[in-house]
Amino acid sequence: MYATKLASLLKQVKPEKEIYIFYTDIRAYGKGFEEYYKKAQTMGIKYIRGKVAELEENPENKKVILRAEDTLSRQVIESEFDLVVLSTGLQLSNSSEKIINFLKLTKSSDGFLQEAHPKYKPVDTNIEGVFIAGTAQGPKDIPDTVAQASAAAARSMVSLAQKEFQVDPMLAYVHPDKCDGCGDCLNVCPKDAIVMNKETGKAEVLEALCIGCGACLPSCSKEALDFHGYTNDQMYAAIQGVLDQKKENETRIIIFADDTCTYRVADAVGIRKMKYSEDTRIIRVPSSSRISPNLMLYAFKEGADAIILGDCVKKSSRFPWSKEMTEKSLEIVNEKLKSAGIDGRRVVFSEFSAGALNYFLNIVNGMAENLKQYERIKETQRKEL
Amino acid sequence: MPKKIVINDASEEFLRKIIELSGEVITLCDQCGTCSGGCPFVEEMDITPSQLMRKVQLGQQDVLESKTMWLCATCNTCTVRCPRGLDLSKVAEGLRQVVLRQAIDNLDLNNYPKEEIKELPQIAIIAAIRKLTS
Repeated sequence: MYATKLASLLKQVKPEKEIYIFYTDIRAYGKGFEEYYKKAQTMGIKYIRGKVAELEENPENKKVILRAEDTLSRQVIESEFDLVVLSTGLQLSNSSEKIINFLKLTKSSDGFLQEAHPKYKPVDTNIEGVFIAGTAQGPKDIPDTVAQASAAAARSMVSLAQKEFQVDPMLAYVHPDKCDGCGDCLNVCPKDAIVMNKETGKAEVLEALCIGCGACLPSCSKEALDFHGYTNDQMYAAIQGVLDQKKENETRIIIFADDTCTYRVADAVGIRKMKYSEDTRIIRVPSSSRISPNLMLYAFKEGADAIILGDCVKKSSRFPWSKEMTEKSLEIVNEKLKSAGIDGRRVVFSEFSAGALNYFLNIVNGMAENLKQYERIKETQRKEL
Repeated sequence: MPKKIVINDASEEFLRKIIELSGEVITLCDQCGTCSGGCPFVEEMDITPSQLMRKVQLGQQDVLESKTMWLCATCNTCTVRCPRGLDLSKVAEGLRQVVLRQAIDNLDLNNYPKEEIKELPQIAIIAAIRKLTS
């Protein structure tokens, strides 16, 4: 659309100029955009559907020879132009990089800043009290930028009007009696929310910074790090609970389903009455990275035959580091399983999105099918873990 | 083999001329194809009305060799349906004018015997001499 704008401006000032816009698809999506496009055509700007294939200089008059196909009439056009302008896509400004690193904001795969939720929290970021608007979040025109900036300003007023700041209670915390101050957890947190308390010599979670992924928990060998609402005790109990009724010849697949994506997709599958293996047991977690190797090994020890760790697709995840962190835990588990002679393919990590129902079924049923091929885990092997 | 076309001053001039003759903003045509889809004569045409519009937009003078504008009966089906409000029959007339103004005499009435001329439909005679008057 900005090619249309610039062409219109030029045509208004110099109507004698012949202007051609080569395009693959006109996306005049906003209010009044279609009319603007029509106006440009009325002014005599010519639109050729086809991507410019070749440009070269005419050695005689130094003009640009352009070749492209007009895909509407299926003819190849070759023409000389005084000036050829490349319409590039919008990118995040280079100067934004500094503030992104400073605030530890996340970028989505398109290179723009990631909002906390594309539909329900379009101006929030993953950091409480930091809001985004305009072309920092994505390519936008002026009215949209103004609207989003107004929304961001209004959202910030909500925080400012409160006397006390409320945080989500689902956060990591430290058991001071278990912590020996080794410092293993300090560099793990992607938000730098864990600090060493110099007075007590023990680690401490800054609740204002913690966003509740639980990725720090596997780093603590003493299980001194814990998570409100999903405590270690609760997790061990949950694992024990889902394996309690397992009979001699049955198998059990435990899915550690992250709250935002995997648990929702499992829910949706149930609502649609789609069938998946009845050996499956789902345990809800804040993110797959919360599951420490100890928990996975405990599950195998107690009778689990397979574990699926589910998390959001990285590019749309609240916790984009989940995959990487979970895979680190998986490495440790795989090594242990190997030494006990258990097939490592029994533990998998997978990215689910809340709408991909069939993908979920494929992963779960595929695992159930595979389990039939593998040798059953012997009790002696379980004891070795 | 697809034809390679060149856009130059002559093609710009051709487009300007047709716009002037027809009074229609030909650059507005979006190539949606509604005109061709509804044209009752399209099966007889060598290029469809929308192709004709594209050729004019690109200033391709070979459009003058096409049968299409001569087959246009000015039924205005395309005109009432065009989402951009273009009157294609006026464009066809503009193109016919360009050809007629070249005053190429394919039919010299003097070469025909009077009896034969008497038999000819009047409209044919008018059409034959019209190119010399418009």
